[in-house]
Amino acid sequence: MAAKRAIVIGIGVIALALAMVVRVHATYRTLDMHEIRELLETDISSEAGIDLPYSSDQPKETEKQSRVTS
Amino acid sequence: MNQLVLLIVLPLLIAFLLPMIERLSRLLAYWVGPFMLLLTIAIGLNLWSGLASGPQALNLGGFRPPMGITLYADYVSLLFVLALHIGCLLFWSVWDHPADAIRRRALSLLMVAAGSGMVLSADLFNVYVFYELLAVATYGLIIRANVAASFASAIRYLVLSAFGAALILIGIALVYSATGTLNLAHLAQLAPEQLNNTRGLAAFMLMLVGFGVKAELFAVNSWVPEVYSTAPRRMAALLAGVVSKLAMLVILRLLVLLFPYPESYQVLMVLGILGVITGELAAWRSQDLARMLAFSSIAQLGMMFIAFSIPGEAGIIAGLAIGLHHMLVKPSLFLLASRWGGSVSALAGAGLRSPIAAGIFVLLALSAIGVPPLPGFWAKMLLVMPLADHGTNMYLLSLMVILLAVVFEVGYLLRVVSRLYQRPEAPVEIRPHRFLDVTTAGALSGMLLLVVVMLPATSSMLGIMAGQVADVALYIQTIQPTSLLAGVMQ
Repeated sequence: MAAKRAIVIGIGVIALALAMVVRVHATYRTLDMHEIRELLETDISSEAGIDLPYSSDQPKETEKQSRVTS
Repeated sequence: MNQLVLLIVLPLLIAFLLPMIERLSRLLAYWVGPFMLLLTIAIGLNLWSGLASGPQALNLGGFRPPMGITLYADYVSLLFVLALHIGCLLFWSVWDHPADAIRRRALSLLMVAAGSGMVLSADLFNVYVFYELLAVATYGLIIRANVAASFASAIRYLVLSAFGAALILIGIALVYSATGTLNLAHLAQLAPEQLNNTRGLAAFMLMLVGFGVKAELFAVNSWVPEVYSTAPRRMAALLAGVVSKLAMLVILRLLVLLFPYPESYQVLMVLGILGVITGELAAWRSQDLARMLAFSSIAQLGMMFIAFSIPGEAGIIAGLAIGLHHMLVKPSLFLLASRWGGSVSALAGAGLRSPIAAGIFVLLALSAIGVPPLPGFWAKMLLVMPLADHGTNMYLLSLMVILLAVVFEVGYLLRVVSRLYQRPEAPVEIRPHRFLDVTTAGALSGMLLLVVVMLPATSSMLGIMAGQVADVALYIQTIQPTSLLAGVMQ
């Protein structure tokens, strides 16, 4: 009885998650959670009207690209 | 006492009927929710006066525990349920979003029903089901139509929350395999023998992390800043102010009834300290008001965790005081952030433009920091004193962390205040607050001032509440009046 209830809830949550994934993909054109997170930070910061948080430890743009291509 | 079930069933019923009511009459659908909330608040107040003779239990369907489902109401749980109902009425978020108003109303009522059920239920699995229901309702509520960021933050929140729910389920399975029951009163009787071991501690850890997702526990709180800064502000106010405390109350019950051992207290304290440190540092660094408030709410809930890690009544009193204070302060701050949510440096001169809102902000900020006559000071005082009393290394460490946290709070909150009253270089473009936001925030800060006047009554009430929560025998006796006698006779 208890296990059945948990399964039913689980299916419902997964269906809801899928619906949201579709909406996220429609706007961000990606499902990579890291990319989504970066885009999200950019969106929140630009809505608040501030620059992106800057860190001196951030990898340089060129390094990033080389990592992606390799 | 049968009315207790109405607090859960009525919102649930109206929530599911709402789409049909809308077909009959749009006007009726618009007003049935607030009127129902007024009704449940009246029922709750009526029940409150009935609690004078002690906590009450209600067996649904007449099944005697541990077989059936039991609801349990004492002053604390009823107070939090009432706070949820009143909060939902105050922050009736649909006034902001006429487009999908009916769906939003239905989800708000669903959230109220689930939250009430979670707090009142005395059955572990029932708590889990209501927790899931609460989570699902909040996923829908934090989404703003056509705002991509809110979808992205909702999906990240959903993943974390589903992970937490799975952990809770595993924890419940561990408890069930050890004891063979899920009724909290029955478990409380069995706990000293069967859960006072590694398996019990593992179950507690799993459930702590699971419920901690909602209670903004350290390491599973990464959803907090994203969701609070993308969700509708009134919704963020309700989530930060009330809903997180409901999960906290569940954790408190589990701690007191099932796992009152030094190891679990220690885990709670370490996670609480980390929550305070990370929350305060991040709030200090953040540049926009919405995220600053979100991070500071993580820190405040970390302080609640530290408070609950003090064994005995003193810790519960401190935790409740901090929680109730946060419940008044944080929602009003979020309401004020509805216009000031952007960059802090852009706020220059906003206080001169809307002086009443700025005055309320200063009052709330001072109380949050803990300036003496205001309730925030007494809440922090109640926390610091028992920590100093215990005097072992860990307690002194957390004492130091809390005092340092106050310094950071002064830093970031007064930075905002000084910005508000700065002479603007360019004309201020920020619009003044809507009348409704300012009056709601004003009403909440009025309650804050009322607490200052009624300080002795409040503190004695807190003592009674904490006494009821800490009394395990009372809990068992209320739910299973016969079994305790049976235990004595054996």
